[in-house]
Amino acid sequence: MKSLIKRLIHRLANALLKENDLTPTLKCSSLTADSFFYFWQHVYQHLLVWQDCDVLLTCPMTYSAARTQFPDRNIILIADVTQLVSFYLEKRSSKFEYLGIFSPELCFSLCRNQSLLTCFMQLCSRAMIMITPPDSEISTHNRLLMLHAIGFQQIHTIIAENKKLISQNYSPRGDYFYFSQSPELPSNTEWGTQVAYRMIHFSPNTYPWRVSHGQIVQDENNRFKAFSQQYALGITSVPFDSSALSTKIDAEFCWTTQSKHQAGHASLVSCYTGPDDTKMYALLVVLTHEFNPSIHLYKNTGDWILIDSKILSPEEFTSQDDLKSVNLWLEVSQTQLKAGTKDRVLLDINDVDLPRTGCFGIRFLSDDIAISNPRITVC
Amino acid sequence: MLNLPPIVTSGVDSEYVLSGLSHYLRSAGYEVYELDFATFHDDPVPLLKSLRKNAIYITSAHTNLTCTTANYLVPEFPKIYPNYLAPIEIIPILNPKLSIYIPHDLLTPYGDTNLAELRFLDLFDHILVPTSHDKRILETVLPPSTQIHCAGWIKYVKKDQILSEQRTFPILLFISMIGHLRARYGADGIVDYLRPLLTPETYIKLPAWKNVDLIEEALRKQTQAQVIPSDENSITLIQQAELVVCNGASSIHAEATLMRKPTVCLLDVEGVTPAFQRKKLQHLDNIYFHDYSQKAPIPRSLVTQLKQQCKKAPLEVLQPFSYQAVLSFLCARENA
Repeated sequence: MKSLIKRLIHRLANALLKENDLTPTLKCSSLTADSFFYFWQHVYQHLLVWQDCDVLLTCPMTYSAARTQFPDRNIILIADVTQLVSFYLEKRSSKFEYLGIFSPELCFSLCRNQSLLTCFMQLCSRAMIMITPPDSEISTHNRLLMLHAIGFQQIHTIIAENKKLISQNYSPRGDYFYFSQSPELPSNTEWGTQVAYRMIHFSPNTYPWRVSHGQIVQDENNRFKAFSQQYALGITSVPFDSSALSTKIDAEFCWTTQSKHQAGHASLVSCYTGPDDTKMYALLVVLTHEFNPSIHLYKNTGDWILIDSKILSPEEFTSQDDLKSVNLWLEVSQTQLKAGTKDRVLLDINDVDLPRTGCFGIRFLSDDIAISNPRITVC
Repeated sequence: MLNLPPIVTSGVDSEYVLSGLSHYLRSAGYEVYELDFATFHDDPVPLLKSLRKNAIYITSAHTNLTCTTANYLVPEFPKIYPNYLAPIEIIPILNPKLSIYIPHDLLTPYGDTNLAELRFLDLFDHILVPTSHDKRILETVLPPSTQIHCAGWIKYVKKDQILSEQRTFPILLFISMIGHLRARYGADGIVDYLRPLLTPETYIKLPAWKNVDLIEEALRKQTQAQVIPSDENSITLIQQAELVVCNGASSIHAEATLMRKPTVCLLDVEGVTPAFQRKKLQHLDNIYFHDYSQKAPIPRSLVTQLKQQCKKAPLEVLQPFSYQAVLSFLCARENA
């Protein structure tokens, strides 16, 4: 009887594979000899994450290590995708609190097939823990989008100790906002671990940055920017009490002469209360003039209202080859708004329309202007 | 006697449809903690933590509508209900022995397209659906670990259990999308918007949302229509109605048509388009669409005609909810 059931499951698995156009052998194009070392280095740095798993699915490459590291866990060896599907069909009436996919090849196969991944998601009542291989085909953003769209509500992505990200779903399309130590979305060039929770696991109060719209990326020169033609808003809070005399945010704005005719902009944000893209002061830099960018001070009280603006003269910014940059600041006191470059005040206006808060941010439309080293001071 | 586990129920305002069930379970000896976030103003987390791993959880709330998600969909929601917790926030804290989901909306029992709640329904142990049609649908998309049961419609309580006085409503007007109308018109503006419908023979009932008493008051002062308190059971009212009228595309339309009442949908561009309304209600076969874009009253002749018309019966008539079904799961679990 047992062997009959096994044969039946095997036939069902093959049918499912055929239906989903899956090849039965495991494939992981990224797993070269070079990356093999970094995979194990990453895994050993984050072994604790896997301790809660009721079951760890492993491949021939990871089976022995899993047995050694997690002797009291249920370790299952999956040799090929047929066995992966068979495992699902056998267990589909069960629920595991935490299901670990302890194999880059299995993760690779699952993430290439949304319906199979959905089936495995439904085996988890709490979370699925996965390895995220460096992958040139699926960006971090697209991977998060896909995982959120199928039904993971909150995902913790751990690249390294200083690169952690918590993303939270808010739409059926998989849209999410994220919290992180720095505003950028990590690239997909390093090994990572993802704990994909079905529900809200915890409020990430310890993460200083919250990116409530779009994605902010960091380029090779550590400058933050959005994707082309995309909008992004990252906010951060500092301890603040209403007796503070003033708050100030400053940062370096950079652009190249190639981008001077683009319609993008970048801003420093102060006194943000939200929600969404509302209720804030924003000092916006736009490349509208042939050589001179202009700054525009806006407030959003529900609608955007232009308070004042000024074209920057060439001496305000520096040029190096085709790279231009300017250091700008926005200071908000109890009754005034001031903005300028270095020691020079360019805009000075009385305005008390928005409550003073310790919530600051950087805001982008498109990738024409980058921002680096945002700093906040409360006096 | 067995030591019965505590029960936690959750939902908000008119989406909380478990008070009757809670009352029934209390009478069966259970201790029930009702988290209707319209009336529960404390931080619910300490209570949930104190009951962790011991309780049974029953909810009629949208599974994944957290305050942060609501910020994107209905920005007023988190302001009105700041302590609100969605089931996907409550379950991880409570870690219940057993979880049960009972939908509160008959038109979109498993959430609208903006939430796609089906993605999360497998997180419940049991789902009590109103019709066998729903049971068949859910069984195809959810894993066997979630059991689907046909238990009738939660808002439909057996007549002999609730009707103390028999009334007749010649025209019963329900208002949906009250959040949208209130934000757009205010209390007095809503009265003006509805005025052509508010004849002396019309009874109007608003949904049980926070501060609707202000609109009820304006209706009483400014019109001849009879105002029915918002906390009355809509199904009981529909049972006593000769004609049901409702705006938007609402659970009321589904409830009334499935109870074989002549039903009018007011078509207008308030919040949704007439095309969207028609599409959402297209599967209901006992419904008349009235163009309300010019604020035209419903012609008296049409009212008479609809009342007299014996429409083709729907495939399945709504069944009263079986409280006993819930009790049997709980007993089966305790005896297991």
